[in-house]
Amino acid sequence: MWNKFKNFLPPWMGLLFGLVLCCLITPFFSEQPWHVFKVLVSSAFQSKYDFGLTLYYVTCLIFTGLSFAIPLRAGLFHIGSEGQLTLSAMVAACLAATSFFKIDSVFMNISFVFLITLISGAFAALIIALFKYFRGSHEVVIAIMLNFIFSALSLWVTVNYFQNPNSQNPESALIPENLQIFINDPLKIYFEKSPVSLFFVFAVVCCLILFLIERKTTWLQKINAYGKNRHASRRHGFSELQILMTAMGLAGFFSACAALTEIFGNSMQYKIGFSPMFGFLGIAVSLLARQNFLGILFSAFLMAALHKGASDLDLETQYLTRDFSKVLQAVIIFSVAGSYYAFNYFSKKRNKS
Amino acid sequence: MNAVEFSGISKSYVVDHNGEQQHIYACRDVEFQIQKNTIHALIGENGAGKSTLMKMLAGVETIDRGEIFIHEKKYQPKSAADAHQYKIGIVHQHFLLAENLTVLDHLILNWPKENVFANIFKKVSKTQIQNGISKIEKKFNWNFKLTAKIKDLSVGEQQRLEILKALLVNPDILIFDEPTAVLAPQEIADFLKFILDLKAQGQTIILITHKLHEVEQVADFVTVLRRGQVMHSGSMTHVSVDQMAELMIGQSLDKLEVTQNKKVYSESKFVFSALSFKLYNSEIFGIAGIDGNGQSELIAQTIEDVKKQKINYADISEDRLKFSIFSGLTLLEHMVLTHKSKFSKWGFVLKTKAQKMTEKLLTDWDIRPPELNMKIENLSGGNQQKFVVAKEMFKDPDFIIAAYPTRGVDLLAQQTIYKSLQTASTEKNKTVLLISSDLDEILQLSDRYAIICKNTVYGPFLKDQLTQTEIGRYMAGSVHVE
Repeated sequence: MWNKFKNFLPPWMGLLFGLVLCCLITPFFSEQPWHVFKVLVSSAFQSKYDFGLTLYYVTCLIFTGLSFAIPLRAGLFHIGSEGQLTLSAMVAACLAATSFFKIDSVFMNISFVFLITLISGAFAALIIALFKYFRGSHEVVIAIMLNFIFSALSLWVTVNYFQNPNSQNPESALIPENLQIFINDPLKIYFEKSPVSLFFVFAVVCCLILFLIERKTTWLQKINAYGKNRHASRRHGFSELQILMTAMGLAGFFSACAALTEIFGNSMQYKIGFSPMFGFLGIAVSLLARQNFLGILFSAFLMAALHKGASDLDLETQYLTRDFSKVLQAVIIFSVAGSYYAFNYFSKKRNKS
Repeated sequence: MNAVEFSGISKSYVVDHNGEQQHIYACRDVEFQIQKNTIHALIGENGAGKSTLMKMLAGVETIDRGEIFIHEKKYQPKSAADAHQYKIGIVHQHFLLAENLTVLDHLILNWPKENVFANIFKKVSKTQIQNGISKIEKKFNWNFKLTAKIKDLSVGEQQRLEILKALLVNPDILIFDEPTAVLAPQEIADFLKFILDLKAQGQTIILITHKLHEVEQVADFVTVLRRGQVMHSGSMTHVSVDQMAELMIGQSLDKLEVTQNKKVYSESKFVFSALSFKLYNSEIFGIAGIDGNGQSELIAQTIEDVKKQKINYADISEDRLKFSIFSGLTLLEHMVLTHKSKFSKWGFVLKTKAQKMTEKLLTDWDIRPPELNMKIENLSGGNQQKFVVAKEMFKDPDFIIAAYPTRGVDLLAQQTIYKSLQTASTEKNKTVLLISSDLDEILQLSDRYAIICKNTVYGPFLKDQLTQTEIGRYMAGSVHVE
């Protein structure tokens, strides 16, 4: 029992240590440590609306965390999630806003929009897999280039063809009311119309399903094996193309899920620059959880709460700026990540003695 | 005077056993001395703790308990750099080479420098390196292609580079971990002569090997380890080869005889483009040759042919770390991945069945420790090899490619592997393609054999058709066939 429990202990101790460290830094900036501590810890839970907002962040971070974790198991450092979610958000908003599918049934209409969005996300990610397989290109280079391309493409398409006529901001028109099916979902109502939606439940279910798939099937094990040793994987007769396509296809799928969370669960339109770097924060979420699918749930929550707390520091304190709040966020993340190493070090020492 | 003294050395690893963490001892209270200017053999079964002990001496592994004395001074290595300071060189069983570098670049990195600044500012020239290594090259009759990338070198060539690296620092104490496992017969003789030369020059040699006749030929002292403990340590004059084998495995050698059955041959239906002749059913066909003469290409071609013909085959690969194992995965996961059709239904893993079968396999093949959930990299080299062979033979294959199947494994495991290959060929009527640089292995096991040299396959030859000298000439490429 203790052995199982002590695996969960390091990150929490790390979190506590990080928060204390933040409080120790703040007096240098003429702020009250206790006040900063309170804002950092409690702003995510201050009201139902705040908690809902945190859960919205959690949803997006779970999806982008998964989008990084699965390719990493295949040995691919996937940093293209940001580009994929931008592209699929644009696709979702534009298809829905213009009622592209002239079908009366709302269910069918929504289903087609979701399907095309998910496919667009998956295809965007598959480009990386195809370049990797056929040209031997490095996935990071291709992903960086595609991030720029998708960002520019989404901006151009939105501003030139789907610009909201009622706004001067670069954003698409709102999706028709009959398609805004998540605007009154039970979760949203419970959290006082905050950005959270039923996509949160879907994200949690995705993590659970992936966890079970990993435990009970050979499907993800093949991807793991390929990531550990490509040569042996080829020699065992595993199809390299199939593994790369599966890993990247799933990554694109989850990036698109993050896009749907924003478009159908929150703003009901595509706003240029809506994502506060969810794609890149997902990398930290996944690394912190060591690519464990259940771990991603917790690390996404930690990251979301910190994100919320750090944003509020800007408003709630006199001297701490938005940028400096990122420094505090980093201190906490480092402490949590470093806690595993510290605990390993001490347990090794104890074993020796 | 003692060059090295081990005093109560212990080392254990923590293993997850059904959720509980257990300590498994690699070495327990090891105590013996190595005299200066001698060749001291360290023998034992796979997983006996030989490599771990030497890694501790070389500063690669930390010591849990006990003390080491070098030249009667206390020695507490914290890293491999400490071992360098004490002039201890090690040639590891698994090569520590940067695969993307050329031989020249690697030698430049390892070239001994006078001081720290020389490391940064002074680049060693190609001529300097060539002059520096020419003496060793001549002694061994080696020829390093300096511009070749390390990943393109054969296993044998890579090991030669490892030995060369260790010799560059002119060490006082030199540890060889299974040095002859991948060398050709001619090279082994040269190597043994070479370590005798090193001894004559005043160096202390620690030799870890499974080949007892090598120990008999060169060693002055021997220490036998079994399950992490010292079974015997003393002069070679007091023990025979049979006694050493008994001490190692804890049972008499008589039980280990390999039986040859009378066989009836029929032509196999399999066609291999790499071989100009047909193989027979129920035959073990040997391919002898010095490593790096086209074996890898032959294996790759054969595997391609086998896949095309959809044959159920076992692949005991030429390099287990590169082609056979996934470090980071457990033994159970390896079994499930390799035998997907047996251990999964509709994509779901049949865990209880997989666990039961794997447990049985580990016990049958005496893989130590028999922990299903142990990560494969935590097994000793020999146990890894045993597991690879066991896992492949579990397929009940129609055709077996066995490339260097006993590389780095102990006597008992060697016999188990030989027996399994023989059973497959004699009792189950299967064809075995045995590729090895160990001539004794080829001649002992094969019904017919061919010799590979510079990508050309000579043969087939019947068991007693050629003398050892003739085989040696084919292997060295000094026979020209019209």
